[in-house]
Amino acid sequence: AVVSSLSSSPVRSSFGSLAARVVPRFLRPQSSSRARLRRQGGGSRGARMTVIDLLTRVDAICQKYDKYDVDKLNGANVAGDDPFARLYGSVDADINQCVEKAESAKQEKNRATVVALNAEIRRTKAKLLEEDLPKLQRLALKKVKGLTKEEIAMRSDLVAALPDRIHSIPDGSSTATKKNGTWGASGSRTGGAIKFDSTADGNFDDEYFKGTEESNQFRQEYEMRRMKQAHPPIHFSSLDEGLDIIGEGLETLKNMASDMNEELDRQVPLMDEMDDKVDRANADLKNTNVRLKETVLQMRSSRNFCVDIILLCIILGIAAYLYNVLKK
Amino acid sequence: MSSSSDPDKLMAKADKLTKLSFTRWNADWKTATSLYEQAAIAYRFKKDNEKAKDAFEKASKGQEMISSPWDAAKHLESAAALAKELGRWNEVSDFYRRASELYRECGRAQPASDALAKGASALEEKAPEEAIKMYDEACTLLEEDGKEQMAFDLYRSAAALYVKLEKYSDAASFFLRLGTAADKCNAINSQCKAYLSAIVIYLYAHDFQQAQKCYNDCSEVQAFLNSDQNRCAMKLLSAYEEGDVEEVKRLAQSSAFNHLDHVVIRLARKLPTGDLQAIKKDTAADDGEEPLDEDDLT
Repeated sequence: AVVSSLSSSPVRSSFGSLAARVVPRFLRPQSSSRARLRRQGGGSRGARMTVIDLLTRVDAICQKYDKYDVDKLNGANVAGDDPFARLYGSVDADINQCVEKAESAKQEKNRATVVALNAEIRRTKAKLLEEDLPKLQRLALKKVKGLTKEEIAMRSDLVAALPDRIHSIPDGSSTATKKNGTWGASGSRTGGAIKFDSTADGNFDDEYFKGTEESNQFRQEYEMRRMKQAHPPIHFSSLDEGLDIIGEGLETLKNMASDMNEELDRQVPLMDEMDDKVDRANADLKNTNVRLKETVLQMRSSRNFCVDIILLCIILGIAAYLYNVLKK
Repeated sequence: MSSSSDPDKLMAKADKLTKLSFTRWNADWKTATSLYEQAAIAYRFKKDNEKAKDAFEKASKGQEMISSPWDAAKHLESAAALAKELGRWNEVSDFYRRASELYRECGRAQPASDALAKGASALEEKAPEEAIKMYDEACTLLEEDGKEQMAFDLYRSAAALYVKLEKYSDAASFFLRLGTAADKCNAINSQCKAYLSAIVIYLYAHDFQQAQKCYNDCSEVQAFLNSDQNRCAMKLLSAYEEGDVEEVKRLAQSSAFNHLDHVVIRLARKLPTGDLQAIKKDTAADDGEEPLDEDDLT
């Protein structure tokens, strides 16, 4: 259509201006739409990664293969001195962290975070007691060169002191004895009887037993709450309703999202087709424009010139004739 | 080229060009076609639907003569739209069918089925049977071409039409077709919704046996088995078996049904229909027969 419209307008000067206008206008939007399509088509099309992508990838790869870093591994076993000190240092740091968490838990108003914090504290304590402590004990007893007997003795003392320190970290289970049965409306569950107490003596049987006690208490509380459902002072019924509403909202969202998913799946091949067609049209247009340019240049360079020269000669001839006539 | 903008004159001119006579041995279709097109556009602008429709028809014939089926089909579609406004229903269906054939000639299945779908939706009120046939053909076209994803909407409209005509088993079968199409395209959500809709329709039609069978068939499909819709269907069917009206009503209000087609939602809200007790008796009778069958097999 472009070519036909251009050929139908025989004005010479309009060629150049049209070509100048057509070439950028048609090429620019196409290339930007192609770039958009490329970007939308996912990163798999064409390897155009930014520097940031490269950096993150390199980081991920390095992290993955760190464990094969021989130097680091060697560093771990260099001198017998280091492992003990290091492990002790890390245990120490953990204990301090736990203490801090316990502090913040005491001041925390939000019950949920308190519960979470306590759980974390208990987990760390268990880990320390079960894993790190025996290791430390073993390391402490190792004969290391460059250390005096007193230092070794000191180490064992340090290690012996650790369990006490660990046990002394408050994790909310110390108040268990008091708050055993009071699952009242005050909702003071923190200390509560959450006895998944892992001040683990390694006695898992005890824990399991406590677990079932737990669930019985839960059930009792649930029944009580159900019975008291009509009573205003209980706040938990609104929780249930709220959760129901949230659940429904989520279901709607899920359905909408899967519908959207399918719709997008439907449109992907269409976009691909469009992309191909636009690419082809673009190439054709480029071709046409180039040829047009050539033609226009040709016109301007050869014919224009000749005609101009001829006209000029004619004018000069006429001028000379007139001059002659007038001179006479 | 656009000498006179008077469409009548253009039409006369074009007609002269195409009529073979003593002085004219070949019809000049090319110029005639462009004249017809201009005339048609002018008529449409003047809102003269009758003449515009004729002009479009002739233009399309001209395009066919100069062997460009695509343009011919496009003109036929415009003609059909005008015919719809005029209320000539048989012409509408004719035009759309021919347009679809021309598109198929070009090898483009999608526009072909689109033309049929447009025809069907135009005819929904006046000639539903015809419309159903067109929907069916449109869906088959796309299925053959492997582009079922575009057919989902068509299936749904066809099923809705069937429900309006109260042909429930046909409607349910369309939904099952939707399910197979969705399976091919991996559109799990649509598939499960389609199966649930089919079950609801069967139940609405008092056809509990069919519903049960349908449910059993659908449970074979792994994707359906793990879906919400499956659980909903299971609950619904068990509520039916127990004859629990309240339960059925409650389930029908539940959220899984709110995402189906509105036609199906309306049906679901009207559940349960019919006598649940009768259904219970039927199922009991069935259970009695089964042991006999098992004996036969052994």
